[in-house]
Amino acid sequence: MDDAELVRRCLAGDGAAWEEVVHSQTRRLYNLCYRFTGRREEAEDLTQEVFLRVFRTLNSYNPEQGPLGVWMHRVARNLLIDHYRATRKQRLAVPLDDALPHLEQKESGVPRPDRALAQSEVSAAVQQALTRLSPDLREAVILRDLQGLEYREISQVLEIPEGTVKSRINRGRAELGKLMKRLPGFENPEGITAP
Amino acid sequence: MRTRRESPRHELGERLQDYLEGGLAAAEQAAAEAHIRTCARCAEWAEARHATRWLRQLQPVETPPGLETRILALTVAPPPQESFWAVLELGWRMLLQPRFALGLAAALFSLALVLNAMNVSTADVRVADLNPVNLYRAVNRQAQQGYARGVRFVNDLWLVYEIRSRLEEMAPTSEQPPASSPSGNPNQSTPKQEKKPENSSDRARPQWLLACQGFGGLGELR
Repeated sequence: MDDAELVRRCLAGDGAAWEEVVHSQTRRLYNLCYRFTGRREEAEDLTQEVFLRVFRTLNSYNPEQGPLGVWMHRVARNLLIDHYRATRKQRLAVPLDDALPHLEQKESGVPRPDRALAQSEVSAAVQQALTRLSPDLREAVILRDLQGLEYREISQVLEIPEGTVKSRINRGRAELGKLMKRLPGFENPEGITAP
Repeated sequence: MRTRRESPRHELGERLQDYLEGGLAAAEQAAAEAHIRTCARCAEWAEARHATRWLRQLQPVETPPGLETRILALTVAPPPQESFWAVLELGWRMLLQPRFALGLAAALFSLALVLNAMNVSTADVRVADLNPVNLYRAVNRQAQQGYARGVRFVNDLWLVYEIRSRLEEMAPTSEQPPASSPSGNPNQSTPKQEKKPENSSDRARPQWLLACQGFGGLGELR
């Protein structure tokens, strides 16, 4: 069943169709919220909020503008930005060195992406570094490298040209690389060193 | 910051995206790495590529248990676009609610009682009676008749009759000017003397006392 039909059935009050939408998108949207906020409780609340918003505005979805999943990503992204602005003052700046775990204390070898070593700690460290990025770079990087969206789709979600999308993603990755370089145990896995 | 913005166009150009995401062919990859080793401006792309690899290594996090259920409980199902018939059906279903139906029945029963008391028969009602003008006339007629009946009823009350007759008896006295009046008009004094000569002793008494006597004498009259 295509998205247009699914949405049409949802709007006609078909509970099973809506359940299918929720089932197919919950994990992806929860991951998006979690990667952006770095907090599970916040991500959970935000995911619920996203679905509420989708539920209320489903009749504004236009299948010609793209897949339902991309449209829902846009709804989620707008909510995340609203949330970010609303909670900006409440957030306290945590120094990176305090926030990131030092992997070398637990791992004797150098962790590499291709080795499944201390996965949870690597994930926590990368996640911490990610939340240090500015929101416009963070959202672009998450949508590309974690959510796996195409550049064209990201352009639809963020409502900016594709060139700007690429630029933001690259800048985000470079910022992240700088942050991660400071972490012990995150040496360049390919032996490429800056001159 | 400025350098970083310009660097994508430097040497790597359009291949930067593929380099960062590991999409270059082996030879191109080797050439890009060789360039990065020697170029200060492109050095940061090595770190960026490194970060990208780490990012893509991250596994999706599991959703908290029960999240889907909570979402479904919050939303149930999108509200159906309500048509005229759907609204009508909703109204009909509301009508069938026991509480509403009982309330309606009680209201109709009360209305029937009132109509019955007013001698309104629903059997006599015709379409023409529903014309606003006819309706107004009927209501007006009912109101006038009701008022007349009320007046007649009050007038027919024995107590009222007594009070009125007593007051009528007293009426000449009240119309008479005070005895001490210097007025010498013969037209005023003459009819009084003709009308109630036997009540002349009462004239001196105050009217309220006479009224009391009247009420006190009701028992005798009965």
